[in-house]
Order: sequence, then structure tokens, then C-alpha cells
Amino acid sequence: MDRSGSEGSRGPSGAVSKTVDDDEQREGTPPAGGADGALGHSALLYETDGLSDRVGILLVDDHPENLIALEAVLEPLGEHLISTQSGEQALRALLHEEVAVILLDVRMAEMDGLETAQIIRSRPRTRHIPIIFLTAQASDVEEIALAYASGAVDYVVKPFEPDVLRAKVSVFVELSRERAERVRQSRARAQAETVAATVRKLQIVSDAALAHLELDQLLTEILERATTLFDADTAGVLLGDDGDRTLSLRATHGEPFLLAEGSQVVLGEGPLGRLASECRPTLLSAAELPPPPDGVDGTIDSLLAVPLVASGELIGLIYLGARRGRRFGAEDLELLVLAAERVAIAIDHAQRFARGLKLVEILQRSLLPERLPPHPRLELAARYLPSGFAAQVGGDWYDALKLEGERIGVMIGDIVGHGVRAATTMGELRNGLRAFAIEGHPPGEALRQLDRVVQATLGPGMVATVLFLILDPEAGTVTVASAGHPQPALLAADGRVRFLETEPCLPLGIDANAAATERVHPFAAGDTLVLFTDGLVERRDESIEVGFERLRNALSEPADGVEALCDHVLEHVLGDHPSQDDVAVLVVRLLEQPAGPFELTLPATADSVPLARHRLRAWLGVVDDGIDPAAVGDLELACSEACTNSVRHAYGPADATFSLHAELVGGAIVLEVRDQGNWREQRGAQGGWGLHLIRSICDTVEIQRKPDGTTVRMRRGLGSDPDRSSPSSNGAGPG
Amino acid sequence: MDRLASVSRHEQGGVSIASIGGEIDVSNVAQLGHELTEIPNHALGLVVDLTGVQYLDSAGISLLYELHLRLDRRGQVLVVVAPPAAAPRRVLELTAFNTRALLADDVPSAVATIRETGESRAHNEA
Repeated sequence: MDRSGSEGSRGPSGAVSKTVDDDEQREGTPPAGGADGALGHSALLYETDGLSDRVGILLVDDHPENLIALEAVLEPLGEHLISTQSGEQALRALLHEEVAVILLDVRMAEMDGLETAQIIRSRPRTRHIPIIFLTAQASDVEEIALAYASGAVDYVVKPFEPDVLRAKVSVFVELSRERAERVRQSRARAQAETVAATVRKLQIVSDAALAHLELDQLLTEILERATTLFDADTAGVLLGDDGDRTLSLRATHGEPFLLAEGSQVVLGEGPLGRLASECRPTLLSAAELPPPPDGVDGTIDSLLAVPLVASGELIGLIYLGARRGRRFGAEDLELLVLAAERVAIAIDHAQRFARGLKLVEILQRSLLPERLPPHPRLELAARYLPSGFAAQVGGDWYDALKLEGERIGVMIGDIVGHGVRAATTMGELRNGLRAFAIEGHPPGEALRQLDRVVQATLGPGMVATVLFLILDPEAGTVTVASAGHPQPALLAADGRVRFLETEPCLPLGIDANAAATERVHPFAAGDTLVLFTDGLVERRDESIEVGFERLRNALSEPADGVEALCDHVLEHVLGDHPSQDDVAVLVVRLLEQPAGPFELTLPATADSVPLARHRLRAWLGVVDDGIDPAAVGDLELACSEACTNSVRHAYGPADATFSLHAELVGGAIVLEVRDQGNWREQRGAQGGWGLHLIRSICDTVEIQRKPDGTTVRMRRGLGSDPDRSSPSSNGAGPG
Repeated sequence: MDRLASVSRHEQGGVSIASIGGEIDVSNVAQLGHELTEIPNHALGLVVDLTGVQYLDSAGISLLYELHLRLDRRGQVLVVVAPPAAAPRRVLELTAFNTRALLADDVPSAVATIRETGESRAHNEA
């Protein structure tokens, strides 16, 4: 026993204040050992530390001499004696002392022992502490009964027998030790169980299966699991962009009680922004939370918010919110902190993976044509689908370019391999083939040249299949050469489907002596060619022939329009089996007729007249296959006559023009010639013939004269003769 | 710009023959007019052969009609040759050119027509 401590307890400030002094002293200086150290550590009753193994014995007597006597008797026990001189001091000491047994004098000046015992009994923390009453009157039965009623476990009559008292106290000290040990064991067991449960919970939130998910799926899965595990009502993950001072809500689960979709949190601003920028996991109550988003009925009662940190960098924030009066506890926060460490790593991994993947995909898409060349008679559409397996961005490509004489070159290819190298090789092949095509090489020769480039520059191991077609709408042919590429499908105008035969040839990069040669096939109006890469038709554990058959079936019920046909083919051939390879599809259709009307504006000079006539003739040649040559002649004549009038009577400005517009309307050509002049039908040899001729050869003629110009609108059917029933037709000549 | 039409000339038994190939419209009608009116005074008449013409419109009709009037004043005869299947034939008929001037199916009959007309004129004058 520390004598000075006992002396202090007898000073004017009392024992408790001495204890407090000790505590304050200890804040700055570590305990030197002995009883002082035991005081500070008494709260850690269950630790196995040697000093703190001592238990507390509280002595309460308003006579200091009695206290000294008690201390003398009990000192040999080697325990921690706490001496107090009143019930009040005793109660205060009990507030922060762990005590095994209390020796309490029944008769004290102010608060007596019985009263003090009742208060000790009424406090949960001290209810279990055995109390030995010290009484001077052994005969006072009533007092003893009261003492027991107040919670005494024993009583000792003064003057007490030191050995007896020491023995009694030591029994309670041992009992206390045993009890403490039991508590320690059960706590340890509970702690072990908690740890095991935590590990299980952590695994639920972030098990290995999540490692293979893409970011969005990963977030959805994590939030779902966390919401269930924590019995939360709402959950969300905010993620930041590199160098950004904001976090954006990336995924949510449950009702958006906290943040509306698309919300952003600025680092350092608001409760969430502050705890994120300070990397401080936080448990927030309703009062500390921002109001719910507009239109959301209901608020959160409790919120866990934990910053997500990966590789030492803040990458985002995860939160869980509870309603219905549920309050999260400190242990929930601890668990979420542990989970967040793992979640952050998983998210970081998925993000890095997605970024790398996106780069390759961007590279690849940049190598595909932004738009396919427009052509008056050919409709083109194409699709590129990256591989269903994200890691395998491949080397599929397609291209189309205008060649001389309204012809179009169409290419599709597949580089064996994936990733950045395949994508860049694809760019080289594409540019090379473009150059050979523009130089005018036919498909076979172009592929032979390309093979030489592959062999010479790309080195061994780079293998590519390429299909090159030249479509000639005028000639109605398609010239095709293939280097090991799947044959394109031909959907004929009559609905039949076949695969366009190509001369067999190895892929590029295999055999320097391999020489692609071309074949010419008819390509008629209404025919559609479908070019594709093997990702479309190839499935694991299945013959490629089955895939070709699926394509054939898909084309047997084709969709209208090439864009729709592309989608139709992808949907029906791939179905529910996203390709393991990337897929490119290019569709080209030879139209029955050009869609657009004829438009032309020319200077109002005589030389423009034959030009207008010739252009119209060219347009008439493609506008409808069924037009009679006589109708073409008549329309040329009508066009020239109207243009001649415009040229002769162009009283407008010096740089006057006239315009032509023609289109196919209801089985007839409607031709309009509009000028800026103001002329009248003339009679006589010079001027009258023109309109007379127009009237003779057209079904109808309308002339609109306005101050700013004159418009002649002529209609002529597609047959050999004009429609004679028309009122404006007229066989008589002028004058 | 390429010439839209070309003219080649020769004489046959006192008849001047101008064969035109190409297209005749407002853009070249003036030029053609100059070439066609250069006809020798001694000739009985002019055959304008449109067999090789793919396109003719009112500008060409006007040219031919003016040519007809000019030659007629000089006592010379114009005969236009347009085979029934040729492109100009339809326009010539639609404008009733044959009711104002002479139209023949081929060059020999055109030449014959001019000779007959010339002889009858000479006979009348005598």
C-alpha cells in the first residue's frame, strides 16, 4: 500500500481529489509503477498486466483512525486500498474505480452507511459489488437486518478481529478475481466471434467473385450486399475523376434519400465533402445531414460515410443510410471502414482496367471510317461490336471509298490477335489497301500488294484476313478477292441468299507466294451484299457452318433498309451469345433508283442550255429503269425549250441564273424551269415554237409569271407518248 | 467546250449539200447559221442533211425556216433531209416544218427534188 496516497486521502481535500490529482499527473508522465500505476490502469481490469491484476478495496469510515486501522489490517493482502471518509466520497470514487469489495461503516455523520449502500445498489455499475458493513453494536439486530436489506453480504462488529476481517475480505477479492476472469473469457470469446463474423461480412461485401466484374456491375453488387448486411435503406458510391475536385454519384441502391441521381459532392464542402477531403470515416446523425433531394419523401436517421482510398489516393466515398429510427453504431462504422478498404481496391482495379480498355477501343474506333461515302445508287451501313469479353479488343476493321467512275471499293478485315498491336496493325493495313485501291489496282492485285507490305514490314506472326470488293453500279458487277476471309453473303433482289464465291487464298502474312485473284459476279439493282468478320458466325464448340446457316436464315427474313439490316443481322445471328471475338458487319445495297430529285442552277447563257439538257438526260438514265427512250427525248426537248426561253428573256441582273428541278412523282417526271426574267409567250417564227413544242410533248404545262421571274412546270409520263387526254396538249402549230 | 455540232459540205450536180452532225440548239445555232448561208450563187439549192443530228429543237427549226426564206428570195431551194427514224424528224413534224419548206427522207431524193424544182423554174422563166 502506498502510504502517501493514504495520507493524501486524509488531507482537507479528501481522498477523491487526491485520486483526481493522480490522474492529472499521469496525463503528462507515465506511471512510475506501484499503486499510482494501478490507479490509472484500474479501468483495464481485465488485462493480464501484472500491476493491474490488483483489485480495489474501498474503505469508507468517517473516522480517520478507523481507516488507518483498516488499512493496517488489509495491507498484507497486497491489493489496492481506496480510503474515503464519507458516503459521498465513496460514491465519487466508485465512479472511476473498479472495486472488488467495499467496507462500509454503518454509522457516519452525514450520509450513513445504509443510505450509501442503497445508492451503490441502485447503480448498474456498482450493483454487484459486495459490501461488508462495519458496525459498533453487534446487538443491534435491527441495524443488521437493515444492513442486509441494503445489500450487505456480511458484517463485522467493531472492534474487529484483524485475521477474521482479512480472511473475509480476501474471499471477496478472490471471488472478484474469478468473476473478472469469467468476464474476460466471455468477452474474449465474444470478441473472437465478432472478428469471425466481421470477416464473414467482409467477404460478403467484397469477395473474390467481384474481382471479375466490370465497374458498374461491381458497384451495383457491392451496394446490394452492403445494404443487406448493414440493414440499410439507401446506399451509394461516389467516385472522382483524376484531378477533379468533385465526386460524382456513380451508383446507388434503394431510395435516393440522401443524394439525387447525378449528384456531385465538392471536396471540402458540406459534411460529405469535408469528410472525404479529410479521409475521415464518419457516423452522422440526421441533424448533421443535408436535406433530402427534391421530391424525395423521407429522411435518413443515421448515415455511415467512409472515404474510399486506393494506393494512398482518395478515389471516392461509400455511404449507407438508415431510416425507421435505425441508428448505426461505432461497430458498424468500423466494419464499413474495413470493407471500404477492400472495396476501394476492387473499384480502383476495375477503373484502371476500364480505362486501359477504353483506350484500345478509342484507338480502334478512330481507325474505322467516321462515315461511309455517299453514293447515288449504293446504300452502305456498317457496325462494329467490341468483343463481349472486355479484355479482347480486337483487330476487326472495315472501310469503303469512292473510286473512279462511280465505283465503290469496300473492304473488311480481321487481324489475328488483340489489343493495341492488333489495332495499330489494322490501321496500317487499312491505309495500305486504300492506297492500292485509289491507285486503281483491281482487288486481286491490291491484296497481293498488301501481302507484300505485310510480309516486308509487319514481320512474322502477323496474320490477317482481308476481303476487298469493287462495286460497279453502272456495269452491274462486283469484283471480289479474298485473302482467307469468310465469303460475303449476297441477298438477291428476289430474296434468295447465297455466299459469293471467292478464289481460295491464304490469309495475308503466311505465304509470300500466295496470290489472291479476283472473281466478277453480277450485282443487280436490289441486290445486297453482307460482309462480316468471323466473330459474327463463330461460336465455341460449334462448326462455323452452323454460324453461316444462322446468317443465311437471318437474311431470309431481311429488314428494310441497310441500317435496319445491320441490326437485324447482329440480333439474329449473335442472339443471346455475345461474341467472344469482336464483330464487324458491313452491308451494301444497290438501289433500284436514286432517291434524290434533280437540282441544277446555271448562268442564264446559251451555253447552259445543252449542259442542262445533258445533266437531265443523265439523271433520267438512273431515275427509273422503265422510262421509254421517247420520253427521255421529249423531256430533253421540253427542258431545252424552257431553258432557251429563260436564257433569251433573262432581263434580270447581269449574272442572272436559271434553275431546274425535276423529280419522279406518281409515275411521271415533273420538271420545273425557273428564271428571273419576265417573258410572254410570243407568236411567230422566232419565239412561238418553244412553248408550242413543250405543249406538244408534255402531259401538262403550267406557266407562272411573277414580278421576280417565270416558272414553267412540265409533267411528262414515262411512256413513249405523252398523255393525249391532257387538256394542255395541242397538236397545232403557231401562226 | 467541245463543239456541239459539226458541218461538212460538198456539191453534187449543182446542188450544195451540208451534212450536220451533233446537236443543234440555242447555243450553236448562230454559228451554224453563218456556215450554212455561205452557199455559192450558182447553186440551184441547198440540202441540209440532218441524218447525223441527235438533237434539234425550236432554235434549229427557226434557223432552218429563216434559211428557207433567205434562199427562196434568192431563187434557190432548201430541202431538209431527216430520215423517219432520226431524232429531228419528230420536231420537224410537230412544228409542221414540211408544210412550209421541203423535207426529204434522204439526200438523193433531196437532190432530185432540187433539180426538178430548178428545172421547172428555169422552164417557167424561159
